[in-house]
Amino acid sequence: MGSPPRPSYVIAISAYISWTVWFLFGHIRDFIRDVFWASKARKDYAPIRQSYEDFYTRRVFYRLHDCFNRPIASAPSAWVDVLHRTPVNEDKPLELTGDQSKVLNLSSYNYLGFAASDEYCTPRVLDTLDRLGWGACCSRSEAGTTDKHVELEETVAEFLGVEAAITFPMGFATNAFNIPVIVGKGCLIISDSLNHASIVNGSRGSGAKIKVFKHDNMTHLEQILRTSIAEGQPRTRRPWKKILIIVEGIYSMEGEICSNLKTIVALKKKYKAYLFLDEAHSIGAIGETGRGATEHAGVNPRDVDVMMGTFTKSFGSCGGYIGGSKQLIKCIRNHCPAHLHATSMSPPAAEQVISALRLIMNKAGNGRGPQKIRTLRDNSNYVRKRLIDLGLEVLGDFDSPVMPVMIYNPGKLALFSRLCFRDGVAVVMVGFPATTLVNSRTRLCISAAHTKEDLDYALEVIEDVADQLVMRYRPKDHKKERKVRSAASHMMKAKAGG
Amino acid sequence: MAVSRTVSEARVNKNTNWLNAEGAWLWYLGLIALTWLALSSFMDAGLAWTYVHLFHGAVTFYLMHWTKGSPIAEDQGVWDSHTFWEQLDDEEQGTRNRKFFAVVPLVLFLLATHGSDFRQQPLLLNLVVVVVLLVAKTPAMHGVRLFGINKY
Repeated sequence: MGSPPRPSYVIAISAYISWTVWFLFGHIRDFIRDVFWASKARKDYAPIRQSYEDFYTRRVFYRLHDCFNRPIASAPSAWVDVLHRTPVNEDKPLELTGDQSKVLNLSSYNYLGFAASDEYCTPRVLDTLDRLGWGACCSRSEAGTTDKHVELEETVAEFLGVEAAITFPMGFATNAFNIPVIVGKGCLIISDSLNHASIVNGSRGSGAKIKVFKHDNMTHLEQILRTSIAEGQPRTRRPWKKILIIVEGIYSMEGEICSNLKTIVALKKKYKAYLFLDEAHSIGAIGETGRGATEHAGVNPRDVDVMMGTFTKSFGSCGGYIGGSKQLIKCIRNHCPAHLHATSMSPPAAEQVISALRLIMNKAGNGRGPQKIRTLRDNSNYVRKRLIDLGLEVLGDFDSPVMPVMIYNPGKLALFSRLCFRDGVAVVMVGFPATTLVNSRTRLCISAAHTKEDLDYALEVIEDVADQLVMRYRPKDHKKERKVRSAASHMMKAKAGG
Repeated sequence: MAVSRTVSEARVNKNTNWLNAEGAWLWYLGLIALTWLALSSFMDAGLAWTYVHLFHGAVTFYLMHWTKGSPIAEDQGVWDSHTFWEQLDDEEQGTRNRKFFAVVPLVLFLLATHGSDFRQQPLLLNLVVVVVLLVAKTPAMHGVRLFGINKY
């Protein structure tokens, strides 16, 4: 069972020292600002932002905002051109200096390498661009449905192994606008504690009661199911109209694959609940043929009531989809505002997905698509093994292309990003509030487009930076060592019905 | 599986759930101990406890019972009218965190009053501070704003 990363007391205390210093200086600066610089707020108007709401952005984020939002000047494939900016100067915007450098890209979600030009996909995308134009200029329900959109939905349904599918131009909006269509007031959502902001957003907007279960903890999930069904709705005690369990295929902050999918399906059948699986990061990236978490866990896709995913990560496009029964898709088509009123997906973007899917399903390209999946898996496992050998604390399972490496101390976060960038590797680092206070980390995303030389270079740079920052937190005591799930032992568990 | 009347929820308020993590309590106690050490370097160690108690009272009252809201932008202001104490543990009373934070001012009060002779310390001030802090932490005061102070 995956346990959350637990730093040793010394590391935790050092992280708290960092946060206290930050907090203290932030409050001192706020105090000076309030006393010496008269408020420029309009008289008699309520302030637009409560000052405490903004505190984190003003006093913490702006100290390291040169590590975020770096502008790029090329397609984000294995190597990417990044533009340089002036150094941090309080909260003033950063200016471009005119320089740029080509760096190894470990930050883009480019799992299958479709972010760059592809010999099969790109000509077809350009043809569609010529024929259908750049923008659909209308919503799907009016004049925005082209033959490409229909073909896309059919291809997605075929790929997933579900009855029907519907696609949307934005992945976040797919969750945010479809969860309110599926559940409403009087329903119950049981969501994993580490679910993405889009799911939280959609759940809050639906009006359903939300209960959160401890990450990947099947005992807690069953406990919540039993208690909720027995107690019914709050106050009225009426039975719930619907119970929806929401989990993700790969949790991108942990790099963990939802391996308990079989148990969740068994639970949902036992308690007659529905299952919503968000495969934003796992579709195309895991599974023997890239079919995602269901294939990886050995679950029949028809058992998952709502299969959601995005095209951003593995297919080099944009947008999201929902797959499920014909009834469900018909209901969504008639009720979802993202379908009825939002502009439809750009036709070339749709064609990119169609071509990528055809490659992966091996309907074109002579086995190049399945080769990409194998390369991705091999690259991921290679990098993960090497990082573990380096002594870094890497989270997640083997076979997952996302690998968060723990940094814990927020003071080191910005340094890690800047040092790696200076040495030619672009990484993403994540801190509070996306993670807890002490669990700051960097998240590496491996791609099928990376060659072994690229990965060796990246590992060299990371080892060098890890030495400078003292980041080798992997517990050396084998009794304390967290079990690293290997692909083999996982498959054995899956066969045994675990 | 133990039968429980209410199900323990996973804590999701990022402003407060860091207190459940490793080392948070230890850090808090460490800060108090450091303050006492710093103060005892230039005054009587027993009297230093009084000043630690008063300083701790002022700081924790401001941070836990006065400042409202949460710096987490994605919560979109759901906690804007709640103080830190009210947000703690998803508004559930009687949790381990709440017990710990209620015991600390009490222990500091005991250390302050026993640390030096009653005539040398501002005993009434010590008593007022501890009573104010403990009353603020009782479940009955959840969401209560006396005389409308600090309501908005």
